[in-house]
Amino acid sequence: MPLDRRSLRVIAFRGLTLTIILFIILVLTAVIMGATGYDTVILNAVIHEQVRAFREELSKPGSPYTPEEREKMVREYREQLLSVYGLDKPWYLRTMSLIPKVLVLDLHVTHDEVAGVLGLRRPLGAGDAIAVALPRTILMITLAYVLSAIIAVPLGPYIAYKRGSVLDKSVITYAAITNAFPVWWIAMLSVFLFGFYLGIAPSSYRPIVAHISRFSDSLLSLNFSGALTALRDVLYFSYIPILVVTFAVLGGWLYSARAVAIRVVSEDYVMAARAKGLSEGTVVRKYIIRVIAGPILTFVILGLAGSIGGFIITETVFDWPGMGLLYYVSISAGDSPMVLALVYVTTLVYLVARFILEVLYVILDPRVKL
Amino acid sequence: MGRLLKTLTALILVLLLALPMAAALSAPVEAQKGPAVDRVEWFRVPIPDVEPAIKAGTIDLYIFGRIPGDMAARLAATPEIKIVTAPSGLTDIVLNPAPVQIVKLPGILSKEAAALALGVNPILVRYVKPLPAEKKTEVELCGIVDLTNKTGVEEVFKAIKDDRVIGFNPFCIRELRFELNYAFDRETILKEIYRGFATIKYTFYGPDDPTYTELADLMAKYVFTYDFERARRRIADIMTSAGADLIGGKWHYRGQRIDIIGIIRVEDERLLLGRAFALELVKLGFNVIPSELAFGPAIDIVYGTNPIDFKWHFYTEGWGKGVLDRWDPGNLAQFGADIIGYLPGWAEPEYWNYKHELTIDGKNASDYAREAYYMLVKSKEEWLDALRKGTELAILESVRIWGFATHDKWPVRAEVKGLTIDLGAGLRSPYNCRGWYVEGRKDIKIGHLWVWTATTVWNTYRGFRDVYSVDPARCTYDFVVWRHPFTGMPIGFRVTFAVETAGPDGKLKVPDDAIWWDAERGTWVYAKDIGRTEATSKVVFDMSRFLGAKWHSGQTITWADLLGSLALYLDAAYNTEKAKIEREYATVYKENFDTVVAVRPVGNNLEVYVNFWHFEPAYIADWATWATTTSLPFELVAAQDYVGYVSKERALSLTRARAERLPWLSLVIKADAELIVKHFTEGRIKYDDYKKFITTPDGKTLMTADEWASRVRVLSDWFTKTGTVWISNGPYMLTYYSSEEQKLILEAFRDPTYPFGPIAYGEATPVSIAAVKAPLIPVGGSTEIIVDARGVGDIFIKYLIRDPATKAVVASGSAEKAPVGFVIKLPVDVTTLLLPYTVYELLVIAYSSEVILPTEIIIRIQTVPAELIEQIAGVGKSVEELEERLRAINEDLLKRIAEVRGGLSEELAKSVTILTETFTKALEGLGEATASSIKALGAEMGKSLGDLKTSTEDRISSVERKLSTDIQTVGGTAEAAQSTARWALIVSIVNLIILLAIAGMLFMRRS
Repeated sequence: MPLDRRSLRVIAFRGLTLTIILFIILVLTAVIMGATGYDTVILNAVIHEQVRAFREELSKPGSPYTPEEREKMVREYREQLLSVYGLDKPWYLRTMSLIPKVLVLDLHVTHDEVAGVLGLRRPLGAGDAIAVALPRTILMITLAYVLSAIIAVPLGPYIAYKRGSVLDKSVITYAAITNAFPVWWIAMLSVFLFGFYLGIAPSSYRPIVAHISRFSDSLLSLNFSGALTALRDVLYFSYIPILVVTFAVLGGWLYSARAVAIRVVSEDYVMAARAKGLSEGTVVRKYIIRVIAGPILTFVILGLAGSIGGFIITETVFDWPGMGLLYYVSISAGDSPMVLALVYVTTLVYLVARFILEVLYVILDPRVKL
Repeated sequence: MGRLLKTLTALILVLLLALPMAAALSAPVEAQKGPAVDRVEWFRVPIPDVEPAIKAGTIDLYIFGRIPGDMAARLAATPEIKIVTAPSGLTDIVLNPAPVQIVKLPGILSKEAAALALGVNPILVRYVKPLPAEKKTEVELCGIVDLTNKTGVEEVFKAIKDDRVIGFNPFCIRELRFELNYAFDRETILKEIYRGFATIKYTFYGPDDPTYTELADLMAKYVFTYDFERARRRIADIMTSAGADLIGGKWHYRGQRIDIIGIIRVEDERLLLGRAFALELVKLGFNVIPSELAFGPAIDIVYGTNPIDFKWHFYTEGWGKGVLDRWDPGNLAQFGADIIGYLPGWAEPEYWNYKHELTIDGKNASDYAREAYYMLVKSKEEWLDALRKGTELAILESVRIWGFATHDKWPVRAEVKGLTIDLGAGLRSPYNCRGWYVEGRKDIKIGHLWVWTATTVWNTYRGFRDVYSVDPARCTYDFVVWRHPFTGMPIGFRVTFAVETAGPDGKLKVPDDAIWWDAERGTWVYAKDIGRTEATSKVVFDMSRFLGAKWHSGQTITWADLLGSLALYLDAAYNTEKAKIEREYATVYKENFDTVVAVRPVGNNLEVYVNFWHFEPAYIADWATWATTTSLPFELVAAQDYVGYVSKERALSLTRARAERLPWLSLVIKADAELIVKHFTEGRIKYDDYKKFITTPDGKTLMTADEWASRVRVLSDWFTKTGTVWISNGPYMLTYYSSEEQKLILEAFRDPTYPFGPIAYGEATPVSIAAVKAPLIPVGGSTEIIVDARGVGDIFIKYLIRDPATKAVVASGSAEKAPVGFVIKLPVDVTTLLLPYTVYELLVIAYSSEVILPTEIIIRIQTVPAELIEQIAGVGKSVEELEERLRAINEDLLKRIAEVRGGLSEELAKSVTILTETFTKALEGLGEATASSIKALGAEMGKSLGDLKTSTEDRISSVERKLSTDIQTVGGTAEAAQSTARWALIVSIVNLIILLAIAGMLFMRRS
């Protein structure tokens, strides 16, 4: 369906608004990291520790250096470190200059912990770091979300339609239980139960990193048998995390889909359709699903977009270094470029999803106005 | 005959052939070379997973010792798990002793004179510094002084924070800091917070340090048992003297409330410890503002701000602890002196820096620390004297309130054997991987927190900066010298050594054929040609166990490996071009190499000439190992040199890696290994370029081009097989390494040339003190105390007697070995130092030549005047004499009774015999008719005889009764005498108790 000028204008305006939001978010993040001195404090601490260790090394028994010589070397070393960490520049030059670079992901990880958590070492581009972490999160979290969506989207409306049935009551109970328990707690239980005690799953999930790399390397080198072997290992190491996350989020999704549908199911026009003698299939297809498709689509798309931010604690429990852990370590280490890059990527994905929805809304319902 | 001869010959031949075979069969199977297990799987286990992993047997032991105390306690209670512990860290509270005001006064003044000039109590004056050039004195003050109307006084500094003058810093006052030691309840913290996994420390040396055995008497003076009331009382006195007032339960100075900012780390037990200390301060009347922070912000405030900015007043510090070291001046240098920059001010030139307030013989703690640390002494005695004086000064200045030596806790499954429980390094000791095994298994599984991090780097220049690289690498190479796990003494690991030294002032001649690497010319030269003709000491290392043995790749270790690698490392330190590229390496290693004068390979020996002296020769050998480079083959050191300095594709140090955005070279990372192999195979790392490093001054080249080529091929194969280029010579080969998977595999190296089988020292058996037999101590007399101590090796017993109230040490010394045990002799000149009727503490410290960490026992001893002891001895002697006399009388009487009884029985028997005989004769002469008369007579006679017998018996009984009465009388007399003696003793004891009570009351009143 071709879009008219007005719709295009609406879409363009929404796109512009979202871009401005993205820019504001980036500026605010940079200001928070820089102006509050957050990263400076952490970088200073790192430099202090390195300088102290250096001074200690220079002060060993038998040292031929005079105290003056030693202090000169320590001073030079400190200056070198200040320059390395960029602390020889004011914060606004240091952090604000990152904003244009982040748009093309031309930034580097500045802390070893950040690279290390991914199993990588410096020098490491922020984009490379995200490119490594993202597939891991997609494999565990986003895939679990997709599975949940596949199950919840048809099942939610169905149980709404069968309101009051045993299935309906079971789903409500299940949703309540899974909402009550945090995902990471279920993850911990599953590691202990399936890994350590039953021995039917790994007790340590860290090797998944190597198997994912092996799988992608084999694919790139067109070694399909190697890729298959690696894929088998990937599946072995990932089935429990995927099932755990699916189990944990599915309840909420089912409940939400049911809630959206239940309102529609009891609408007057649905009753009127039935009263007119339409078949149940027609009622469900035309009067229920068509109406709830919009909200559920919104829910699914935003959920999937949000999933790429990862689950910090769950990733920690599974020792699965994805986007959540990357976020956490970058913030705690005060790695401003990496934090900015992560904020940029996750916000961008979210805003793109929003934009797609906006477009869909405009397409589906031309009455949508600014 | 001929046949017999043939048969005999054949038999002899058969025997000759069979004998060696039989001998071979009957000979014990040659011990297996290499470690106890064939394979070690080493992988990451996050801390929360340790408990289930070790319980389920997923790992056999966890080599990262920082598991939480709660988890360790739970695992310790599990039968199949044991917990190995070793002191691994130190915790203290550092106080900010900065002044709040600095002024200059005219003239050169003492502390008291300065206080007088300012009109304040001298306790407010922290430090005075004479300024002779200006003819003034700089005075640091702990409380603000009003300078109005004070002529000639110049204010240099006044502490201002947030536009508010800081009026007073209580921690600036030394006496107050010292008293805080008593307000820190270490016992409760040990029990409740550390769950017993720590050792209380009152200063930086303690029972967890081998050096403590030499300082025990000093340490015993400063046992800061929790005594809040004492601390409160004395601190109140100090505060009042300084001019502070307690208003509404809070200390104020000149109307301003005194605030204390406490920086408390949150990551570990220090959080609760810091809160406990803050609470004590609150109870003492200080207003505490706690700030609970993680590493970054805490470090930034404490070490990143000037102490006189008063962003903090106390901070919960934590330190790692190194290996067990028999003679360790490091603690004093680090924590009590300004040598390493660990005193407040942190040696930052732009900060206020702490200056010592106390001296002994004109020297302060840093002066003494410098003497001990840099060996600026002439003998062991001088060294110990410096260490003791410096330590005591540091305790008195109390810039740090010491808390604990924290213990690392390693969980191990009970079936794991062959361990060496190193008293310093615990399970991390490199001996462990050489000995560990599980019965019936050929592998072992080791968990570590990480196998790889972004700073886990295996390169021999500036790599190995974390435990994750050091721990597994130590299983792959052998050391030249290492510390004994139970004594902390340097011992030859894969070498034997001999040390010759000219002493602290002397010099030895360096032989003319000794050599040195001349980095300027890029060649080995004779040392004499570059003026290296003298050295303080010479160490001869026997390298036979290296030379001729194999590298993991199968190549033979040669002099080219040892000298070529040394030349490359020296070149990196002294070659000015290289030093510019890797400044960090050059700065640090030049410092070490500067003390090495020359080396001289002789046969299989390597002579190392060093300008280093230590009173313990083994320490000189340890120092000389800077010139022994044995962990990698020459070509791999050359490869590191190439990628670091020539192609410059990799950094060898962290600083360069960060500055130039280069990867930090790690020989176990596939990309780096691949790069090196590529450079070799494509001919960029060339023999000709590295030949000079293996060519000695006499023109001899230690490795041929063919050998080089062969090694390159082997290296390439090794990479193909393992994915790394880490080739070494220790008990394990690194055959798999995955940074992504966080896993590595070590396989046993069982080459016949490898010199060792499994090594395990087991667990140390410290000396145990079974009993201390102490009599009443005669003041003014001599006595002996017997100590029953048992242990392995030569046992040494030290003792000290101290006042339990003041902890003042009255006497100290060593016990002598004797047949009855170890005898502490207290001669007259020692006992005269003691007060009579006083209880003292006797601290007995025992250690042995095999296990240096001491065992301590404290008992109470009672003193009495020597005269009283003599009196008591006199009474005892009289009682003994009386008992002896009674015993003699008793024996005599019993003997006499027996004699009398024997005599009477004999007489009676004789009479009866005579009468019987007479009667028989009479009977024979009489007829039957008279028989009845005779019978009657017989009856009559019988009766008479019966009467006679009865009367005789009565007489005997009477004699016996009389004798018995006599004995009772004598016994009664003796008992009376004994009773009198007992009474005398009881009265004496009662007197003694009364006297003690009076003395106690007097003492309490005085207190």
